[in-house]
Amino acid sequence: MAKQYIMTVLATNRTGILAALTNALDELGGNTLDVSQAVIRQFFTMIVAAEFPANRDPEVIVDHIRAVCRPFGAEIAIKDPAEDAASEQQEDRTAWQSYVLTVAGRDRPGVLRFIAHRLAQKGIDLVDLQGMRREDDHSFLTSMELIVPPGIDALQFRQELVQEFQADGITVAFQHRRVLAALAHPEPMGFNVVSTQNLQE
Amino acid sequence: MEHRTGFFSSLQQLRQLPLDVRTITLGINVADCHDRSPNSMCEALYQRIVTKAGRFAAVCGEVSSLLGVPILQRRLCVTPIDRVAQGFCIDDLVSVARTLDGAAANLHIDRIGGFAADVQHGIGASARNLISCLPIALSQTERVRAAVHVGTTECGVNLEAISLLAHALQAAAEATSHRNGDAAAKLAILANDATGHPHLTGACLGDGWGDLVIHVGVGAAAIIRHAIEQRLITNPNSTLPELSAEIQTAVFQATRTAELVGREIAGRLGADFGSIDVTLAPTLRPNDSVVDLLPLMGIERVGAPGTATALVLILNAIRAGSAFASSAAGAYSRIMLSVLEDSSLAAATQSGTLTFDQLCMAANAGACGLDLICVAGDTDVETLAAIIADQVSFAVVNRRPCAVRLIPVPGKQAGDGVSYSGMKNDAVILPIRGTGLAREFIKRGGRLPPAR
Repeated sequence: MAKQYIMTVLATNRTGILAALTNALDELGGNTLDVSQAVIRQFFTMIVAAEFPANRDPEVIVDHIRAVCRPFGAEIAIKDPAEDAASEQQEDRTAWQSYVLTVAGRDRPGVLRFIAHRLAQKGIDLVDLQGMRREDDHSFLTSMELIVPPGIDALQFRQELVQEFQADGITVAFQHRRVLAALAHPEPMGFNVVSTQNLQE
Repeated sequence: MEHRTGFFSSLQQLRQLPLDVRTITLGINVADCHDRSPNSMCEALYQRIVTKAGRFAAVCGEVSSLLGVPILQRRLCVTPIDRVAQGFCIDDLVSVARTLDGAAANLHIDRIGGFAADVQHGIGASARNLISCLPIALSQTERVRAAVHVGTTECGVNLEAISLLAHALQAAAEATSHRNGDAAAKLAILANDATGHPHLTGACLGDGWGDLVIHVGVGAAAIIRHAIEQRLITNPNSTLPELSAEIQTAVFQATRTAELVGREIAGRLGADFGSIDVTLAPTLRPNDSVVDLLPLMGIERVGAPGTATALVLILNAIRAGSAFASSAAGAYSRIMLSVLEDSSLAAATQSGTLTFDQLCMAANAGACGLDLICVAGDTDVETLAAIIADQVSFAVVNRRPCAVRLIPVPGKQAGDGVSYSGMKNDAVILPIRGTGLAREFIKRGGRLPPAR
């Protein structure tokens, strides 16, 4: 039975990190399953789910990858999903809806905190997050993809955020994935498969 | 600002658009509610409307909450009543109007259209009765909107009908003189209504739409303004083609959103999805008027030379954007210039740069008629008819639809302010030059030949 590990890598952005890492995986007989990366302010981070042969010693895997990444000054964290099983079991989410929340304006502390609290309160799942701040005028833009349980009124949720942020000149947009799909795809509606689905596939 | 993850880079383009849907109209076929007995017919009408539209408000709320898109107004419309209520006397037609009003009230819907007749070829006895009942029907109901179709490019202009309607307008205004003649605002006079174009006010279902249909109205003013403002921040010296492209994109996005909302509502109600009307119309939000767009583009006061060019630019961009967005988008998008509903426009008329004549001409630059314009209460009925006839003639020769809504405000003169309950702002009575000079012409009457 294959063994899975989840790894994160944090390093100064340089060419060659992914090459070295995938070399190491290959040498270990491993296979990449899922991967995502982000580059922020010249730092690179990546999260990888990889699968290894069952007979591979976990310590060997960890040591080898660390050794390969050491020249890059990279920090590696490795977790075993079997040990750290997610505490929240995946409930049935067929009725959940996918939204995108975009907040932008003049930066001030506490924006993300307020939003994160509200999301936690309402049981909304944050599946993707991007944020950026300009140095010239200190304006920011944050976008989040959210999976929202049924029973949450999108207009009302937006209104709560607007009330909190409007006075500071921060704008809020909260739109269903289907609206964004309708805007982004040139095909007429009805032929646009994404716009008829609830959740991103 | 750049994001390096693909999905969100497209969000950069979206820039927090103020997306909403201006109107959702549920069209209900009531043609089979006809009955010889007026009471039975009214009962059947009431039941049909209340049954078919029972869930309308709730479904609109659900979809609005789900998609995060506000819906500003819900409306109903029915098969043109003249077709359904043939052979009835004036009193019975008033009862029909009251029935429509009551049904809409029951459903918490503010507007019900379809109290309408087609008289572009000639006026039948029933149509004549309907026109005659309008002053009472419109003054005694709140939600009913009426429309009479008086001319087409192929048939010509029914001047006799226009004269009758001018009398009806005056009588309706008089009957509601304590409310500044607001009954007159509920009557629209239409030309080239061949599509049963459901969004021209007084919306009627027309023929061929099926038993239950959802139409959507888009008011793109806010989103266009947002787009132009953003573009001008990036490049204050944007050329007109660039601004036109921004408008086109903004309208595309607004139309798509409206279509998504409309189709979802239609699906949940078991209705067909009909058409999308893109009208640049003001809303209750401040600065949501086309008039506020023109200064952004560089025309400092509406009505100044260049206004028509700007309006045509906007209109063409709207039509291009909406056409690409959806094949359900109506071909006759228009720009609503309503002194009554548009505070910026009212202010522009007060400054004197924008005159009644220019509003008449703006009809050809996208206004498609005169919409909710207040005139002096003592304007003679032939002048009212002449104003309407002019607009209808423009429409006939230019092969486009038009709607005219004029309000002769009893007891007020040009320059007076007038306010109506439910309207945010005061309108101004516009002076009309040359009143009383077409009496003989209008009195000759008849039906004017079509355009070739």
